[in-house]
Amino acid sequence: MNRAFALSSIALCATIVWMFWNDYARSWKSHQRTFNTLAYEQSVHEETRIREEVEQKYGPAISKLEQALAEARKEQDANRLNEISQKKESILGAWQQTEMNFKNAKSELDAVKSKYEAAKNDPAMAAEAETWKRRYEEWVTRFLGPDGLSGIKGDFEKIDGEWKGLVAQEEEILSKAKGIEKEIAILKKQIATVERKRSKLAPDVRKDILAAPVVDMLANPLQIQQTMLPGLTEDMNFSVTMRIDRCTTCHLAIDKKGWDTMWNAEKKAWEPVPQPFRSHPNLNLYLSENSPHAVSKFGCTVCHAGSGRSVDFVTAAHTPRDFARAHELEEKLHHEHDPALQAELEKTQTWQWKQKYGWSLPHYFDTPMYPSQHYEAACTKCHSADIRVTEAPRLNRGKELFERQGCFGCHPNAESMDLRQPGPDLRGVKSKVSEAWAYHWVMSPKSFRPTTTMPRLFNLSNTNAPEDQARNQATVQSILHYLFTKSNKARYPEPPAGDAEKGKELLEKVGCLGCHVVGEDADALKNRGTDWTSFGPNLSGVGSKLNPGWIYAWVKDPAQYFPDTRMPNLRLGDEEAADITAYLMTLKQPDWDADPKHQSLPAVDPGVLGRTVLGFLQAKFPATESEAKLKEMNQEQQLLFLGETSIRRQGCFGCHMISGFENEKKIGVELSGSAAIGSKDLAKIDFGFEHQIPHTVQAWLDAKLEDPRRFDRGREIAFEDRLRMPQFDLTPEDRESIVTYLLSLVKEKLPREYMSTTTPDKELVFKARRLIQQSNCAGCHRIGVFPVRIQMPDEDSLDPLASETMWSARHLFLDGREQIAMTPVDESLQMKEFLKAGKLTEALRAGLAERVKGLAERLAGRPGMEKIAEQARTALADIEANDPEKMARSVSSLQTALRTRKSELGPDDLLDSQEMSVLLAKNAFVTYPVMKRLLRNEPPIHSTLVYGYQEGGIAQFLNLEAGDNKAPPLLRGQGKRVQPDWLFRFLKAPVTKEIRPWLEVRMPTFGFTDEEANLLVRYFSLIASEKFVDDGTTDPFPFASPEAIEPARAKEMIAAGENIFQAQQCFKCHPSPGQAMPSNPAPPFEIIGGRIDRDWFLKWVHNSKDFDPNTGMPQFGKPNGALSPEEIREVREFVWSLFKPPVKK
Amino acid sequence: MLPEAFKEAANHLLSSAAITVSLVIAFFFLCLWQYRKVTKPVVALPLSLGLIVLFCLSISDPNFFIIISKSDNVPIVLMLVLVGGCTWWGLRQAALNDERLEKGLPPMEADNREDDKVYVWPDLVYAEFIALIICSIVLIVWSILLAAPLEQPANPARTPNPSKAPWYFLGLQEMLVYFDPWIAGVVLPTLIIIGLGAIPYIDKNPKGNGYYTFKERPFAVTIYMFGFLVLWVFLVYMGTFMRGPNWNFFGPYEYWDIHKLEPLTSVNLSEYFYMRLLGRAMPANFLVREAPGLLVLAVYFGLLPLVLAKTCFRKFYPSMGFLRYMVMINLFLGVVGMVAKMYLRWIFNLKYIVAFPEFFFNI
Repeated sequence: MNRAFALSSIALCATIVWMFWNDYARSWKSHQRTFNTLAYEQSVHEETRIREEVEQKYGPAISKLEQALAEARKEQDANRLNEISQKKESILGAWQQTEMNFKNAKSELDAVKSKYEAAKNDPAMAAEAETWKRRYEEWVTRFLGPDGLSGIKGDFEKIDGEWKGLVAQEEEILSKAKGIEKEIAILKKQIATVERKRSKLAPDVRKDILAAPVVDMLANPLQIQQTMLPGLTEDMNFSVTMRIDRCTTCHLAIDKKGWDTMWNAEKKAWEPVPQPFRSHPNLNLYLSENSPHAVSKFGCTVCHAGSGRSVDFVTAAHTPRDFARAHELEEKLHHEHDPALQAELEKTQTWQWKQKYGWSLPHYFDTPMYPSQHYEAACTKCHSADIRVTEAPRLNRGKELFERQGCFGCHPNAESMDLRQPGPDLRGVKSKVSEAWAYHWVMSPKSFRPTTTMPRLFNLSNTNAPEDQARNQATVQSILHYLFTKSNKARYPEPPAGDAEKGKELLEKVGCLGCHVVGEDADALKNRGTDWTSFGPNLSGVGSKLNPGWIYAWVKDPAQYFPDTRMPNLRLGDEEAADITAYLMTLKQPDWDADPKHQSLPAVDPGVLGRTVLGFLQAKFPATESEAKLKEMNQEQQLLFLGETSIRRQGCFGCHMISGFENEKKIGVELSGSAAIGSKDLAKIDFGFEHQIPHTVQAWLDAKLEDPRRFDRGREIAFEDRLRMPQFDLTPEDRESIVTYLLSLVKEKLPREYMSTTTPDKELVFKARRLIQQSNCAGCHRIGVFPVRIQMPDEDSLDPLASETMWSARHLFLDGREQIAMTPVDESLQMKEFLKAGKLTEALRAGLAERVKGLAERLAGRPGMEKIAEQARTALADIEANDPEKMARSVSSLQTALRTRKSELGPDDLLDSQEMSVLLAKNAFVTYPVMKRLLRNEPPIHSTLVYGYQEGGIAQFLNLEAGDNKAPPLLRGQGKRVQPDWLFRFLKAPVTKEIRPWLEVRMPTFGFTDEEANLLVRYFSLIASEKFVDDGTTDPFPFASPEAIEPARAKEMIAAGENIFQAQQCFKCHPSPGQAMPSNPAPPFEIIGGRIDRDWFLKWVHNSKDFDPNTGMPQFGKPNGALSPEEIREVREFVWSLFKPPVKK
Repeated sequence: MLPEAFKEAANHLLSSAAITVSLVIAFFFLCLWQYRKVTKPVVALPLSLGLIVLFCLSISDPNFFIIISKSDNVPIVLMLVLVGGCTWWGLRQAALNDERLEKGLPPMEADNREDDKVYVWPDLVYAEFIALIICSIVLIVWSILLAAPLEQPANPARTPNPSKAPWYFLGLQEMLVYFDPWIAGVVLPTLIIIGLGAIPYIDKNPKGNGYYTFKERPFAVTIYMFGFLVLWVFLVYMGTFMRGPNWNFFGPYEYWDIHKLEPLTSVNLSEYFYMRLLGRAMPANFLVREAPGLLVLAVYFGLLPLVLAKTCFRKFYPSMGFLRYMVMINLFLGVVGMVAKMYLRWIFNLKYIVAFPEFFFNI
């Protein structure tokens, strides 16, 4: 018994110790310890670095000072110093004693004095007053002495004077050396600072003791870190608590700068900081206190989701980015062993997390963290009012795809409520295409036009059995029968004959190519038509699809056929329209035409039709009634019935306007609001028999988009009840973007103070951008400065085993603003250094080689450019040879050469522009300031935002020589450049010919409403204002109050202006109406007064290149230019005098 | 490790509640009937070893493993071993004692030897204290190894499937399948408590006090053990291991498929009577409609006790007196009726014997 008791007691003690240890040894503590060690190591390195830097910078100065110090010390009179110090020694005791006496006596005197004063002024104490007076006087005598000199005070002052004298003498001797010492200390101040920092971080036994078990309750240096999120709560059922994020307990440097890279003292190299200690990317935007997303307000889980209260890797609900793939691999490996798959599995983040942290799919948390590819989904919680979120390219792309592909046609979604149906109007389809063409198109749209957004609806994975295929055929036939029967337009009459050659020329010139592509369009395939180049359908093959009558009527006025079309009216004349029609009819799709089966409609199989109709009837009516109804119908009626039913079932009216379906309800599942797809309860999602799909919402959405009918697999379902979402044939990247967007549609509502502030201005900009996007203005114009984000590979998607260069490439990003601030000279110097240092990665080298190669080819044929072309070829050879020294030399001399001929070259042909750094960044993720940091071995800062120019403009005009003004005008600063009322009128009724008579490209009539035109006018003035006032220091035309010009002076000015006008030969480029068109024409002067802003005119004439680097207009006023500010003003008066406002009717 | 054919057969056989419960009841009565043989180590040891080996082999089956390894289910496995062991111990003692009694010897417990008596302190309290320490160790170690995670606040809109009561209430939860909530959740537990409380008043037989015996108390021991082992422990086991998503019945090696669909074709007794047997429409008057069920109940609880008093329990009735007999027999019939109702559901898809949806009164 005793033995049992002893043993069990010992076991209990051991268990309790184990319990304590278990509670004590938490993973976050070891993270904090590791971090402390890292921080200390980094501080040691920082100290060394600063020491070296100080040594380098002030080394000579310091050694000089030290020398001087030594000399000064040598010069000191040692004997004299010795003597003084002996003297000090000898009087030290007396001095201290006297000082003490003096202080005591003074305090006694003060006390007696105060008592005496009190007694004197209080009648009740009159008796004592005398005594106090006497005592006071006694003390005064004692303190000052009878003669006022020999008392305690006098004694002290005497010896104190002696002491101070000695000290002063000593100091005088030492002063020189001390001064030098002080100077040295100032130079070494930086060292002292880092030394302090280092010593604070140094390992310390005291800290270890405080962190020891049990003692740690006092003042543990290892603490759980948490952020309480103001205004956010968690519903704990029966009580509401504050929302708390403890992520920073392990992610200790998440909001600190500089924790991207750290110095590895052993390898002597910078290397990535291991997780969880890395800084958050782009701290200017996230987490730091003055960023818009300060950690104290937003915490972590607001954006990342997950369990903020948990301090354990698994229960915090981390989600790996490749869980779906890993799950699929595991499923496959479960059935058969395959070393290749196993190897792939072992590379996945999921697998690695499982090994490292024992990760498993978080079952205990409804909202696990977003995997890295879907982070941006959280932006919408606060940025729901923003039509596009600037910093969330994937989310934006997802939303754009959602809109372009017409997802909202079937799925109700609050954000897409006001969008037009994405497909063309089918109410007059009979006039447009043949039934045979339409049949084969619906069966497989992409086989006619690979870039179309029209999805496939038939013969998909749940409807491709032989019997189903026959039913599909009957269904499509009946749908078309319905559409063609209900068509409200018959065929258009044959158009007048046109000249196809002339039509082709006109089509290329007049502006059609701003939205349409003719021929191969690899980009559009890749981008799925979300960019401006392929805004409208690719015109290849339209000759095989359309009839001339329809084309003729359409190009003349698209709205007569399709009132809501986005295609504007180019105001083509009859002859022009006929020519274009003739040309378009020559654009055949030979493969399509060659296939005989495309020419005819297959015959209707009455049996299949009957069975299909019966199936749908039975879904509505009892069996016998259905049979009876079927018997009553003839084939025509059957086709119409099945057509109508199938259109309703497939939801064709979601994208197309169809007669009889104008007010139909959308057929798809609601995606926003209370049924928000991003907050969907997993239990409510049907995974069917698709066991390889892991049970997460994002995996399901992705699988659904990949094969929308897959969840019918293995089921016994009637033809009428099968899944009906069409197949969009999206690429995996596009699916991922759409999933990001879908996940962003959540139920969760954040308090008002979290919502992105929607100022009226901001709202206006968003609305206008949407209009600009929908009108595809960028198809022809380049518009304004937009922040362009260069998309980096996901932080996590990099192979952790990949080379270090690849890693550094990812992190080497800097805020774009800094890039712009750098001068070109500085850039090329850095470029040279960078190349010389041999730090070029393969990707970067390839990018550079491609760039230089293109340059060499372009310049080769240009007269006067032979030498530069030769230089480019040399540089290319050096780049290809990968010789750092030579490369650095030849590339940098090429850069210099290019810069000297800048005015003759297009923007693409410069190698040192900001654009170049963007290119480098695209290829190798390195930018100049980062290179600089690399070269200095400084830890780089990362960020991914670069300010660039949004692309735009008709492709064929982009390569024009500078100054060639055949392209549609650049719209930079447009709002300040022209008078708003003019812009309004112009938008409503464009008159290209009056302003730029030489232009063949035409501003089309968009049919903007007054509201829309006003929106654009306001938008342009809003985005133009910054540029207009930025150059305040050198601007010779600051804004000034309007001065009243006397009529006489005005006349003088106009006359002077006319003289200058003649002298500068302005009319050579700006012709008057009726004058012959010069070679390099510019808008006529007569209309400028009614169009251009008066203030802007001055600035433009002064320095036109400031606003448009490619303009052909000379810079008249710039420093040392031809005209003084006053002269420019005179020219203005002259020009304005020419303008005759039209008489209002 | 187990042959698939065996697993399939086991799943096939045991995924029927009727068969599972019948096998258990048969085994229970077999053990009691042959208790002297079964409790002999020669029989009991191989039997329990066989069960343990089967259990261990079953662990290799992933579906089986998922269920038994759930943190909440581990103690139930342990409980089965403990209950089995203790029952064996009691029955074994009873068997030995009964043999002794037959030979005219006193039971082992009454075979008084002086040195057999020990003091409360230290002997009893000391042992209890050690037991307490060991329990503490087990609990601490267990909770360390279990490492219960921090979960999110409960979401009332999203309950787990299957939603299970705490393990000790699983037997009552099982009753919810066969009875209205107010019967299964209110009346039955109350009856159980009253019945347990009434035992000393019903059973005045001093035999078996202080010693194990079966032969002297066959009815009392059987009825109690049936209630405890079959209706409580086994139903706890069933609720834990055999009731899966949507409270469907699963075989031991079956995957708990959330989509498993079982036909819901239960029919009330009245419907059987009028529609199937008489082939006529249901009477509109609910009293007439439920008359057959009410009659059955009246016969079962009114007539049957009297019949039993004259037949099976003719020995008990005179010794117990009317009142005590009626209390005992009604409790007894309640227990039997409960099991009978379960069987009626499983075999005849009988929903309710008496169904008054008008008053939420369904039996």
